Amino acid sequence: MNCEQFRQNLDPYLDGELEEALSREVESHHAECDACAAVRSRKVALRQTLKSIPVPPPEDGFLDAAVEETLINTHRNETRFRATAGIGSAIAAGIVAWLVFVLPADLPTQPEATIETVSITMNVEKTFRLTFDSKRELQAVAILVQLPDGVEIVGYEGRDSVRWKTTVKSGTNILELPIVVRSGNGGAILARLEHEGKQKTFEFAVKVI
Amino acid sequence: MPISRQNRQPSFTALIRPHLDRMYRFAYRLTGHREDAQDLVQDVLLKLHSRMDRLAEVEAPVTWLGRVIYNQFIDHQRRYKTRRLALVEDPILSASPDQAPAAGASTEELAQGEFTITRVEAALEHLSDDHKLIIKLHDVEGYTITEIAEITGIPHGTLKSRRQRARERLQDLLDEGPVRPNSASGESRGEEYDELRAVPAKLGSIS
Repeated sequence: MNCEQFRQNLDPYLDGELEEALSREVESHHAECDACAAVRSRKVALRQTLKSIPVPPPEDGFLDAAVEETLINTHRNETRFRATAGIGSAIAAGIVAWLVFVLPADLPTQPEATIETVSITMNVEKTFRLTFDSKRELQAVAILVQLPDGVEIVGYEGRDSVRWKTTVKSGTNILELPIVVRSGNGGAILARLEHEGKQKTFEFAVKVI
Repeated sequence: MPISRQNRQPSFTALIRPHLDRMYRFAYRLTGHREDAQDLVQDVLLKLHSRMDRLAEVEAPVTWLGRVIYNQFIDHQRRYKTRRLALVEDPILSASPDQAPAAGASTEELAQGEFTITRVEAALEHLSDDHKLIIKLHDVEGYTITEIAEITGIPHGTLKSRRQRARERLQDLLDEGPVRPNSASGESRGEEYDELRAVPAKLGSIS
């Protein structure tokens, strides 16, 4: 077996799909060719990494709650536990808040405020999900998030604003904001989207309980 | 004779409970996001409740459940393809493959250090949906080609050739160096903006 044949047969060999005679040839070539041995090492390493890609666990109690909700909803002949895309389980877990906004195809020239107040516990991280529905893809949308005193985005401590650019896809987009209040009573959080000279501003308030 | 609800409740729970973890895991590999995976599992459970007799009879429940989840996902992709604009630091740009190897590291260790989870995950997101699916189910989750064929209805031969192309593409992406998101969108990382990006966590929408 030459190097080219080794490399052609390497994946089937590692998959255990190679017949025995060919497998022996692969092993023989591997033992005598450093270059092909290095190729094999890289493939094995990549496979090991792929197998170790983690799955984040579901929210605490989700699986049991999902079965229970299935039984309850089936009993009621209702089938929309998930109607709001995870809101039920999120509220049950008490760690996530959802705020839903509708984004028109083109951002309006005048800011439009939608204000809701949500509760939060001092020094306890809470993720707020702002849902934006856009009728078409908007590229290079600038997002600015402004925070009141004492309120921080987790990972960006000490910042009163964070801004970045992104693409808003057609359909539903979710902006996840992990928020923690370090001092004070909370206040208004502003999220502003700018696109091609137009902007839309969303505002919601967090109140420490 | 109809089965009373009192009789069905424990049966459904008993039947489905051993599979829930794997169902969630499978759903996560399809959707790529925890909340969407939970929604997918919840929707499938609602469907399964009326098919519990079938579930009790199937010889290969893992494959059968995989097919139910996969079909639900394919039939309602939009529902499970919500784009998330998560506020995160850019893990890809910071994932350099050229970290200095430890002295005396073996060939295997050197190769392992080259393919960090962050880098490989980032590269995976650049694959097409078809390639991503085969890699995630086969190379990540360990489903066999035969099982994936039963789950997806895609012919065995198609899956094998697709697997090979997907691996080659993945290797090419990793060989190119750090994988950069949104490179084709024309977005610039201007000085006025933070080094943040929105993560379209769904199905290879990084482009």
